[in-house]
Amino acid sequence: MNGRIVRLSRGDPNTAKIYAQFGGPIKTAQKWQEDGAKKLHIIDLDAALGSGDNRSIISEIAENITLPLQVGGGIRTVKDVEHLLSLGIDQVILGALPFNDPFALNKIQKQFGSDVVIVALDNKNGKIMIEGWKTKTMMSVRDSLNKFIEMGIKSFLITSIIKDGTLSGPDLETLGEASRIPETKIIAAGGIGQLDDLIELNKIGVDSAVIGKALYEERFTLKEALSQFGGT
Amino acid sequence: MPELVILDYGVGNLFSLKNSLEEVGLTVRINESIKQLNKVDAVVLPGVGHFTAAARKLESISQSITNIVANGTPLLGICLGLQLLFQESDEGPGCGLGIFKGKNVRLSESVKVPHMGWNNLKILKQNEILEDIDDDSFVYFVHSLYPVPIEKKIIATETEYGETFASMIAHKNVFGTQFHPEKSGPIGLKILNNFAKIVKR
Repeated sequence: MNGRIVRLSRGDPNTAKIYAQFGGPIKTAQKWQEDGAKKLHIIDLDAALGSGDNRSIISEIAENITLPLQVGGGIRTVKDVEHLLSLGIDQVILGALPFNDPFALNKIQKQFGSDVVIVALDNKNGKIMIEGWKTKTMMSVRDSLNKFIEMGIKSFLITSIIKDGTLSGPDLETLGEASRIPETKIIAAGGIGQLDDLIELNKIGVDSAVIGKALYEERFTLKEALSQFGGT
Repeated sequence: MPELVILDYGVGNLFSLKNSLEEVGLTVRINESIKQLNKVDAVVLPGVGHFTAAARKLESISQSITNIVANGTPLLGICLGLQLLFQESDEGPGCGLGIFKGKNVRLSESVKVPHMGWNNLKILKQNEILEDIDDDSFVYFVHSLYPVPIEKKIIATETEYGETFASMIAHKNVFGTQFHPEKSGPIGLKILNNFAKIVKR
């Protein structure tokens, strides 16, 4: 938000805490790369909330980092996707677009391939929330997975909103159910607070995990996490 | 500073690759051809994309490329670029540069395709481009096919994904990686830096 790294609690912008102990966004991204991160997950919260954007910082990160990058937050049109890919971003995370404009989702897959798309299923009380988690859709995680898998999507980012930013552990039930669907890659996010959470996620067959607050609050280090799982 | 050309045959974004190569001290130009360029100290064939489309675009300049390679100019093929060093591909019709004999085949049906993620390199033979790279280092892959060289001695590293395939080749001044060094963190940069050292000689 506003060019700084922040973490929210349960998606409430009023709870935003700035983390600058490793420097600004570019220096912090470089630190994660040096520590062995396998991918960087960047969410433009201002764009998600419709109050500006951080595209130029994202562009600068892409210029200074040699890791695969996935970016989300406020990506609303095919042109947005095109622009981000031209900056060297590898995958785009789409939250609202798949629900508001499935036509555009199809177009994006046709033009860029389905492997550049990750559909975000951020959920609260059994329903998917979009647009900075302000708008409720009528769909459940299960229904959404079925719908988008049929459309050709293979990668899903599943975030538990009530767990996000709380360090209280991920939503293993939802993630476990999703991971059992063959031919899909499930990325887990929200609530990871300790190394044990990663061990549990690995057991239920999640493909990868996004760790945010736990690393910024220094609950454990990235190196410790990577050594548990042999580097991927 | 040595000048390197990344050949643009319309397959995907070249921004990250250009950045990484500039970071290891090379002047980088992106061009569709090497014909009109006066000074070419190295060539890079990039790409994620379709073999047929790229082969078609390379047709008119394939002779120029094989000529400067025969003269000792370093050439690095990345991902699709590696595949184009060979003769043909199961992905579709079209002729690669044919610098090496062999064709490109699809990954096994027993695994999720494309192979998209980090995997490790088993080093078969040492080479200056692998200087300071440990065996079992992790690098980033995004591909559905891989080349099967007829001459096994050019294979520098192997990787396993469903089956064992050649993930890197090195022969005199020609190098190729199935993975993306520009997306492989510090290890990828080291490999590109080693290539830059070869170019600067």
